[in-house]
Amino acid sequence: MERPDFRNITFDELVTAYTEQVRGLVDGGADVLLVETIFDTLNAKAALFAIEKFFDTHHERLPVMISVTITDQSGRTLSGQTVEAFWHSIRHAAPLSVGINCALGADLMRPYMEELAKLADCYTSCYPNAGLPNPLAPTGYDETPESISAALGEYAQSGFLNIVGGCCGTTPAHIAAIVKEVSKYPARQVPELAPHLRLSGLEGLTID
Amino acid sequence: MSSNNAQRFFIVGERTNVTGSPRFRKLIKEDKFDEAVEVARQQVDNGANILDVNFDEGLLDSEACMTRFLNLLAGEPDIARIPVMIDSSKWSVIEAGLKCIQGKGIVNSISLKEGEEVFKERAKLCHRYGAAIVVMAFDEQGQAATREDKVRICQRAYRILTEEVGFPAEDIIFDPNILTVATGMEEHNNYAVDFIEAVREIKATCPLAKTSGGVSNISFSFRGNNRVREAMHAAFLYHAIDAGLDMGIVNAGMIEVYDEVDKDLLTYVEDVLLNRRPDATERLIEYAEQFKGQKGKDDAGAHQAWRDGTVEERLAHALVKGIGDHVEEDTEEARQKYGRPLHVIEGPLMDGMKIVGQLFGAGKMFLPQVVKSARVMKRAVAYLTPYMEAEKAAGGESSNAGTFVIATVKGDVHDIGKNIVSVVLGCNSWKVIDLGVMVSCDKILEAAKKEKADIIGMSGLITPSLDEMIHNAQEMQRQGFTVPLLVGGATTSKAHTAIKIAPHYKNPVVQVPDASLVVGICNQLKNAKTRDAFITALDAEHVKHRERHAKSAGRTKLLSLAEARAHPEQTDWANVSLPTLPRIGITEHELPLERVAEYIDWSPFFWSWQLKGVFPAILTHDTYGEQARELYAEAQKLVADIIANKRFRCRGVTGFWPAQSDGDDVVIFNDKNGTDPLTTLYFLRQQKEKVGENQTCLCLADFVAPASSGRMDSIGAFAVTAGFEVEQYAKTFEEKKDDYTAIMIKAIGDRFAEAAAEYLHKLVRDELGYGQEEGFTAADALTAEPGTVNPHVAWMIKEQYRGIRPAAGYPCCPDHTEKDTIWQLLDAEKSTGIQLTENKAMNPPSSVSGLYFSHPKARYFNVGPIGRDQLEDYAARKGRPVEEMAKWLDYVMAD
Repeated sequence: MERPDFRNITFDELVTAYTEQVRGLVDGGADVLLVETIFDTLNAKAALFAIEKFFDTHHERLPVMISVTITDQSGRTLSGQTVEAFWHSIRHAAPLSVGINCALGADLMRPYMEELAKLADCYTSCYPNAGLPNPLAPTGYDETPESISAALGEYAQSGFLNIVGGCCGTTPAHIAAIVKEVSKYPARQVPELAPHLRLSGLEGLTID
Repeated sequence: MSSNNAQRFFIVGERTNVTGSPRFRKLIKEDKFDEAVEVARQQVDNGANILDVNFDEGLLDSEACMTRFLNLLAGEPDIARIPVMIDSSKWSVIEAGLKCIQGKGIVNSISLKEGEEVFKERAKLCHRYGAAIVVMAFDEQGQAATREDKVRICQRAYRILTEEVGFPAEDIIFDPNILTVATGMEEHNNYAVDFIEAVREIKATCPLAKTSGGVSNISFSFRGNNRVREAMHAAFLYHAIDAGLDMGIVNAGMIEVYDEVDKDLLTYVEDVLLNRRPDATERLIEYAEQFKGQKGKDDAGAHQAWRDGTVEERLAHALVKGIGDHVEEDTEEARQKYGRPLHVIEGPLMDGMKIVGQLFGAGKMFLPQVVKSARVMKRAVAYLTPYMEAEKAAGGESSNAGTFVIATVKGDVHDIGKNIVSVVLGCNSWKVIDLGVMVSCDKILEAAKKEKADIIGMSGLITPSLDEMIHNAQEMQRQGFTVPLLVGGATTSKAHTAIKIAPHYKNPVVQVPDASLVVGICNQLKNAKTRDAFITALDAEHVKHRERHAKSAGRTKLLSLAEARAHPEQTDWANVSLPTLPRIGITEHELPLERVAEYIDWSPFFWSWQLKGVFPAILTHDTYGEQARELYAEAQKLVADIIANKRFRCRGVTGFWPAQSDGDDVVIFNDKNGTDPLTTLYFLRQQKEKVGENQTCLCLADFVAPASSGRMDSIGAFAVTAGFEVEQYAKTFEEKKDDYTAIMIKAIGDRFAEAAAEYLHKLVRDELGYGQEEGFTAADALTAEPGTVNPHVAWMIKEQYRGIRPAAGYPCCPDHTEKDTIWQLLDAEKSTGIQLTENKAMNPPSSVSGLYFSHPKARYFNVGPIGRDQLEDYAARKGRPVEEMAKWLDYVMAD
């Protein structure tokens, strides 16, 4: 921490590492690539860079999904970006979907999912943890199939979702409950947004 | 600023830019990145929506600065909240920046300057990194000045981006070039209208694209008159925003409101901006005068006015302004008034020089002006000298701040920096004993004893001079000297001084990075009150450098020489194009001065005067611009004189021979079949372990085909000089006490030598064939208007051509003793007159030599650091004792 300009890994090193992962996944027969649990957007941009570069020469382009993690209730990524800033940072990759996963449980991530659903002109996804880890709970997590499916059902009803699932602490029972609940509602309509110059630092800036 | 706050115009903060902000540049140069971050914070606090970041400066490692600064900003949430505009004319710097920002930023800029392919490639990469782009209205033919050209180029770029690259139209920002108005040139009068109308048309015909521009350019003619400049910016923005301008690079916090501009001033300003009447510029200049504070009326009137002051005021004015016209008569008047010549020097003359010193210290005067002041001072002193000698004969005394003995060390001939230091010290009342160039240690120390020197200064430009300084420090210790030692010159550094020189001498050893600092250092060392504190700080700094060095020494890992040799640059020798030699052996060249002058790169000329910037941009630089223009105008006059009166003589020699590499050596033959070996050149190979990239250990020999390829390759060599005539011509001015012109001539002599090397290289590339594909030949005149650079010359300055011409002593070829082989090959002393000193400096100093490599991938690199194993191997190959080579290569050895 004495050298705030120091980075323990470079963009180029990340691109090299991600390229190898992409090659492995594509060789193994993957149909979709998912860059997920993103807590550092620059790191994610290196992954997206590697993916695009790989498809330049190696393989027909596969759809790319992107999912970010909001680690606390400030509504920001660990690297400090708002949901809007994050979306502006990665939308150049023209993903199949963008979403939020892990970390907070479904109840706490609602405002961020709502915002993302409004901003993103692609599909949205959400697969939360079964709540924050709780070592005192019998399963290690607080959310039951009933509570998580109720929360995500409400998301679907509000039109936030195209793709849904569960992350840490969820079980087949959780997923079954979620499927049952969200099936009651139509999928989100992808909005058509006016094309504007959309920039970002930690916050978004739209120039129209 | 959240996206919900709709607004029409967006402010790009311009102060975090080393070319536009002297303060920011100074902080970066002094490695004060923490304070530089505060500049960014001020821009954000003053309302910047986007932050422009620029490190384009010749002497900076721009890529490293960009990376470090952006990484620092990332840790400052109140700054990092806004997007970054990565501003550079170098793609490598832009790419370094793109690798650091998590947000979506803007690249400023790319253009069609280098053709469609480069443009498309870079646009695609920008998109892949997730950035928007600024596209300058610049194409293969140059920068667009008229409305038609601006619109045409932007529309062409728009079509290529949207139709061929698939770039999102909303991520394109056009910069149709804001150019300076009111320059006095009629063809510049419509520049503001051209920009505004171009914006209107671009916005109408390129859907979704945005527009931007560097606003302060518009008012460069009124530098120093902020009231007028701010009015111009306000009015210009008013009309440009009305035409559709979306953002502007401005000093956030310095934008005046259009409605608050004085109505009369606004009329004059808009007459100029909107080109409403032919005499608009003259009228605004006249009207603007009143805002310049006390300075009155026209120049001629003001010029006469200063003659009405007292003799003290007149002398002070003459010194500050560097005016020598009346200096003798004023000095005589003062002599009569003060009675004794010494009292004139210590009174009005020193008072005048103190003002000069203060203005210089405050950054309000620049080095060329100070040297001009010194010229006036010298003339005044010269006038008084006979009177003082008469007094001395009658038993008078003299006083000064101290005695300083200075010399360029043995084996080195470069003295521009040394001469500037002498002048600066001399005009701060130090008695300077300048021993000249190529001065051996015993002569320096003998003079120091005889003159009772308070401080000794040693200067050197070439790397072997560092070793000479180490030796001299040891010698000072052995002989029991106690006075401080100052070292300076391009190869010296604080780190080298702390680690390699200072440990040999128990008294202060100070590296002087810049002539402007020498007076402060000397006065602090001389003054008993400040001396101890200065030395304590110096020692602490030396300790810091040694510790940092010790730490980094552990971090650099070297491969063994054998491992390094296993990773050479790979070449497909069967298919690479090798030039056919048009001749074998040497050719002498007498180069016409007017042709050589066309190839001059002016930027280093300004650096030698410590005006740090790139030509021609430096001519319109915020701080240095005025001074740079004056210096340039004077240089132009001298160049014209040098050409017309053949003051210099550019002579060169080039040679080519069949050659093949043999490991890290290159064997040179007399014949195409390789049966008659002539000599061998020896090279060094990189051994540094590279982390995170492919390991390639480069050696210049990799660029020459090996015998095993079955193909005969070639190598060339050259030496060229502007002649001893440079020194002789400069001397005629030194004798007239005109150091200013003497230094100018030497600095221009260096430019001629470098330009001659560039010109010869072009001749050679043409001869070898591949030069014919460069779009021009050596026979073509490369003319340019004053204050501009011919595009072909600009291209050569960027080293875009095939082939390199490294010298023995360059980082890729650090062994200076290889010059001996080159001299034998070329018979260079006979053909050009250039001699090698014992430390392999070329004399005359305005000389350049090197080798020609024509491999398509030949490039410059840094060989060091190398290991002991390579040193031993290298010495064995050359047949020289290891310890002798250790001395020559000390500066590239790993510890």
